[in-house]
Amino acid sequence: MALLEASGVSVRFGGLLALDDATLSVEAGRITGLIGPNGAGKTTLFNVITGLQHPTAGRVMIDDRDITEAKPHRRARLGIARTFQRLEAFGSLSARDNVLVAAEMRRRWAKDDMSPADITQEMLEHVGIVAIAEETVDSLPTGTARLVELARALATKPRVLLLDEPSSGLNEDETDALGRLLLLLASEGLGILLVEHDMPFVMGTCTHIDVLDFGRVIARGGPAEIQGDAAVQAAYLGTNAGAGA
Amino acid sequence: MKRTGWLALAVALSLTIAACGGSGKGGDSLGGATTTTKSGTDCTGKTLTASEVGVSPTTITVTVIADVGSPLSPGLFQGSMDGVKAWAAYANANGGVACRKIVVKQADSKLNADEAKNAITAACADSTVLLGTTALFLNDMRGAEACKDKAGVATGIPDLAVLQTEPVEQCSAISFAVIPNGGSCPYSGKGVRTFHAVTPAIEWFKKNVSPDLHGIFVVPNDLPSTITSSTSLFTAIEQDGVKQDAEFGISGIATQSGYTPIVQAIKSHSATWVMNGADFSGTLKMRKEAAVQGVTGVKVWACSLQCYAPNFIKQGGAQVEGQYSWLQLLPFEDKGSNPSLDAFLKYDTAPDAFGEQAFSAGLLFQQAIEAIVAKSGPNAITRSALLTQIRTVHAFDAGGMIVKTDVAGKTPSNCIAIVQVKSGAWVRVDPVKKGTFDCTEPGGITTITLDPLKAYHPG
Amino acid sequence: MKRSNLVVALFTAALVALVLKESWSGTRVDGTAILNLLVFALPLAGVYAISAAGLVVVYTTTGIFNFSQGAIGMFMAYVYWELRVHHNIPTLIALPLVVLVAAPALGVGLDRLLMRRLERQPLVIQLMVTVGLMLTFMGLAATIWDQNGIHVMPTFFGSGGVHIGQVILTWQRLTTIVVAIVLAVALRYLLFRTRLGVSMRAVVDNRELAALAGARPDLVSGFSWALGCSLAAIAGILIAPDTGMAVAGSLSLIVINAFVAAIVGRLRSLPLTYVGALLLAVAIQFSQQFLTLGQRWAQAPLALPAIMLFVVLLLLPQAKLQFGRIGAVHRIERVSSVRDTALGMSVLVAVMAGVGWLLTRSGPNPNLNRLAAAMAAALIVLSLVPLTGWAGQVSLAPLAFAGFGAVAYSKWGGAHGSLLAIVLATLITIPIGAIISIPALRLQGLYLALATLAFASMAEYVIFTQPELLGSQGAHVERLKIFGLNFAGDHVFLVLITAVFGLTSVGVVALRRSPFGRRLVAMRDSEAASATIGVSILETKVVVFMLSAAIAGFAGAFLAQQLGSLTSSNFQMLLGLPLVLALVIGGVASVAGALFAGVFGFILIYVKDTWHLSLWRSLEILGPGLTALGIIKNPSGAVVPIGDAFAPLLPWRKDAKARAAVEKARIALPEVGELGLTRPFTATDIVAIERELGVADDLNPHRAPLVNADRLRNAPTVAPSSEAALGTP
Repeated sequence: MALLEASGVSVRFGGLLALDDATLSVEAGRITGLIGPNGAGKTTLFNVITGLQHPTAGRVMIDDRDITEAKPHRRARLGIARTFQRLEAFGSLSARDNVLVAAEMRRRWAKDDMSPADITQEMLEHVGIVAIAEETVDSLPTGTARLVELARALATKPRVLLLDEPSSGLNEDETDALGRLLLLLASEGLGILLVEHDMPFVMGTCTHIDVLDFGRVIARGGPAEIQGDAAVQAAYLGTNAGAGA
Repeated sequence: MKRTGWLALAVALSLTIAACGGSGKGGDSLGGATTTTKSGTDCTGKTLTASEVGVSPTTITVTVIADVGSPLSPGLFQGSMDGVKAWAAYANANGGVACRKIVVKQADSKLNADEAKNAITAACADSTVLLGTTALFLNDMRGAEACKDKAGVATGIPDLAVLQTEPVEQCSAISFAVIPNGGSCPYSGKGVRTFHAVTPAIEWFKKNVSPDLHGIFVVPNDLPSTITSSTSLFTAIEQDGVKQDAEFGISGIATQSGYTPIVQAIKSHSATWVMNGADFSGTLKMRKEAAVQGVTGVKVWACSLQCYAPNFIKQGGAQVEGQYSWLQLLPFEDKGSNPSLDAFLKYDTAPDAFGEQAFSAGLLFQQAIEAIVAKSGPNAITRSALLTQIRTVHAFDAGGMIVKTDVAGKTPSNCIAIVQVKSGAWVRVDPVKKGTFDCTEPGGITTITLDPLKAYHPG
Repeated sequence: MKRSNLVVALFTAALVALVLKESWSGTRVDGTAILNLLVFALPLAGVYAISAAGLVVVYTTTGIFNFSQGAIGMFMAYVYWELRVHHNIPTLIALPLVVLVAAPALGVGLDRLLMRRLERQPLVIQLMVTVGLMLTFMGLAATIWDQNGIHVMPTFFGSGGVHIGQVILTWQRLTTIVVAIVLAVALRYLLFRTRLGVSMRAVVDNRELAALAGARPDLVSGFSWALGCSLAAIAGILIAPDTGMAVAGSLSLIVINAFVAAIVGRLRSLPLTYVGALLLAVAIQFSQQFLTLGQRWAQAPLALPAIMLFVVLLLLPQAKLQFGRIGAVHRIERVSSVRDTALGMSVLVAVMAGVGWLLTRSGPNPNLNRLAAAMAAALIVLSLVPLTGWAGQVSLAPLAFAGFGAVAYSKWGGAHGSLLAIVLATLITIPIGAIISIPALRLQGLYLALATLAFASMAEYVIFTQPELLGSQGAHVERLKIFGLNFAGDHVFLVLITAVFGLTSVGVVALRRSPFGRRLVAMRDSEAASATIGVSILETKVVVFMLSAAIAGFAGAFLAQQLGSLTSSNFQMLLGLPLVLALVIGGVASVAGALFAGVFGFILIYVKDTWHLSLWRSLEILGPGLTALGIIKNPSGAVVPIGDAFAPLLPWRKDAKARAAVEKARIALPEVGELGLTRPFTATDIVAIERELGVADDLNPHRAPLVNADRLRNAPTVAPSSEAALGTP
């Protein structure tokens, strides 16, 4: 049974069909990649899963529980966390406070009594940003700010983590470190859904990849299968061959 | 914090209707140059002392509090300040008062109750008296009443006011208007009150214009106090026989087209009487709209003091022709008929009705001080003595410049002068003789008892 | 959402039915009456519509809601009067000169000098700059054209008109209607048929997308402001003969009334805006013709536009959580520690006590009461620091909430200065805050701000005027009496209210440093991200709104004590706006800003009172407006630079000293000098530039985002494209 499942999700903006009957699932302990050209609907799907966008059709389930109508904060309390493609960090707070806010929220629903300060410190270390913890996020470079977002998402101790281009703005070493962190988190049982443009990074970290184009899932499988898929190639190269929707 | 209260400001003038209450019961007030003589006091050989706060061996300091510096209407009641200054210049030019020069302090109350209160606090510390007070929102007299004199006694600072809009000022034991409001005291501020409304003009209109007047009353509905002051007068007028066809409420800042329904009602009722309690600009807009809509049947466009403003004719032109206004002071057109008026017009370069009353307040003060000096000498001037003296004044007429007023009794007079706009100028219609008032109407004061807010039924 | 609409609609219908039943005047409704009603309403509707169209055009293309629309119209009407009447220039020259030259020039100037810099400022800054502009134009008009002078605006086409039913529709009013219709057609043509209009509409549909697609050149915003000012001028000139050219009259007329029309059009649709204008005009004339609103409802007609505004706002669809946009830049605020605040506030109390002592040495002094008034104002705006400063929710009704507190104080024990009355004043405003905020908080920021404005207006005309509350002539209250202490004296009361402000400030700072405070700032910075970490946005907003209402109510109890005598006019909606403005000038996100807001007004009065300089009169008129325009240069508020300069001098502020040294070193950095900058170019600035450029990267996967300032200064490097990456293995 999948931890998180989105099935038959369609989103229509006026005349534009941003998502068309998309189905996708995230398993615990697995890193699932979600790729596709720009405008394919990846971020829209994230928004539907996290409750920021109401789908025109389709359902979102976590643990077989229908959360299609649930508010975003309810979903967070059920264990869904995310980062954003365009930064949504709390810019006027310090990095530590960014994470602390999330850790403090977690107390509302968490059963254990870990102190928010301890969780915060742990996550800052995990992500490797202790050195800049007291800096205001607005004054951090984008890549680092993304890491703050990641630490913030992790501070709610989610079961499903949705990452929207986490590596953009990071240099090679940082990207490698991020990859190792994600693998570690997955090995601890976290289900991760990853949107990424950095293909080597995707191929290196994901065990399963879904490819989205024009709002539809056009291919899914392991990294090797995806790279050989003609429809995927076509979608990326812009010929209309396989994208026919 | 900057107070912009332009609503307050816009309705400000409409409140002046409260001042049109009246003045003393009295007969003919011709002549009467009692206060316009040179200072009769002889102080030679006496050492003058600083007998009271604001009194020094050489000066007497008075404070005039008026709403002038309101950001949106600079100079609103500048007239009151000018009037007091004119009186001081006049008094100083004639030997001063009690052998001392008058020093005028001006305090701007900015259409703001708190600033009025602050002005009183300042005056309490450096002035003998408040002269010509024209502060619309003065709703707290406790500071003035508790003001300590030089001896440390809470005598209060005497307030000789031009305009008293709030019952607390009207009913305060230390506050006197040169032309009193006709409301009964004490009054809690709520519920039923008795009013002595000045309505001799109604009798005159019935006799000289039309015996059966009927028509439209317009109430400025911006503030409870604007409603109150209009309804008490309007009810009295109705009681005197002007039938009400309809009553309307309108904001003092309404546009001219806001008056279209009112003018429509004037036409449909064939009204012969129309009166607006708002400031003159309200009447102006109403008259303009009536002209536009071709209203011709109205016999009396009525207005109390507030239309007698310099700008009314200048702005209204031919459209305000025929407008009546009744006054309890001499119109400026009477120049040359009364020494007090002439003195006022000589020393005040921008005279208006507020200024004339403020000048009168100065004369009242001067008269009282001179009486004290005559009785007890020039070093007996105290606030307490002043209050005692004022409380004996039952027939003050500022040398005939205003109607004979029972200042101490706070009772309005039944005397008036009626003026009318004829060929673009204010012309006396009753009495025709310059320098006089008509006091012949026995029923000129109409006594009514009502809850002024409940008497308002627009529509 | 549909259900809530239904509730609002039913509630409104019930209210209307009740009003009709209670106050029907018995006037017969027949064809003539309805025809009359339309003839009365149409010219008014025309003016509202023209003014509102200007609001809409400017808002949709620039995102600025222009409070000064009415004031600009009034000012332009004066300019026209000056040319047409004073200099006797023929209408055919004067009119185009104003409408087609002066007004557009003003619009372009405003755009260039002010409005463009407002683009990414927080809502409260945008609103208050236009409020400042409004005060400036009013002040200018009052300074240039003597308000006691004669300004008669000639009507177009003389004094006649056409007979419709029993009424004459004057040429002037007919002109108004015709101009409104012609403008409607012309605007439609402009927006749908011209290239400029199409790019304006592109901006309307999606400001950001259009910006990214390059369809939003400076031309569009400049043109919008020019057009907005022209429309304002037309409305101002058309209404001028009707208002008698009063600075106050024309304004209040166009301000809220035009807002109603614009909101009916949802700040987008011009046809709906026209419908809104007509509805409002009909409603106003209807109430006058067919209703008897006397006694306790005597002033209700004045609240009609506000009531309609409120209802229309409640019918708007719920705002979506916004994200992925270029958000407002909230300057990094410095949050004082609780200890520093306590220390500073103790000093303040001591200073006030000392100043009070100095002032009273020579007898009673009005400045004591003025200082107490300043502290009362500071305490009131302190209520906005958590709400507006931290949570980013704009309320324009702090004075109205204080009014509820003041009324509660006077009702329940204020007559003998009871402490319980203060407690009750604080508590009573909490449910009132909840009732107002729960429906309004679903709305996007601007609409919430307008809803609070409407609420303040309704409170002024239909709530505080109820005779049971203050009585028609006002209510007297006493100052606090407790434990045998009596705070009646001005000096001791000043110390009391300062201490109360100090304690409340310490509490507010402690709140900011609590989890709840962090959550507020987090929510302001990103509602979407807050929601995804489990923050309930609605709940948080409601709680902070109630907290703010409680502080305002508490402050109201002290305002009542300071005033001593209360009337409904103490709590006018339009008196509340300058309070908010003063707070923004001081700094909306700090308790020091609130203190500044209070003291600012005091200083203006004090200076004018002490030195009777004639200069000060115009300064008093123009000062607040002009100061507000200065917000643009310093959106964090005046207290930040003051604090930066002052704090290092304090012996206990070693941190401030260190920070000042760092700043100094930054200016000295070679690259800063290279760029010709005279102020420190901080990491924040670099990131801001990076973000701005990075926006394009999000749409273009072929280019990697810029990472640091080094790369920023060199040519942007092109990262390996995704195709290449895809092809590598």
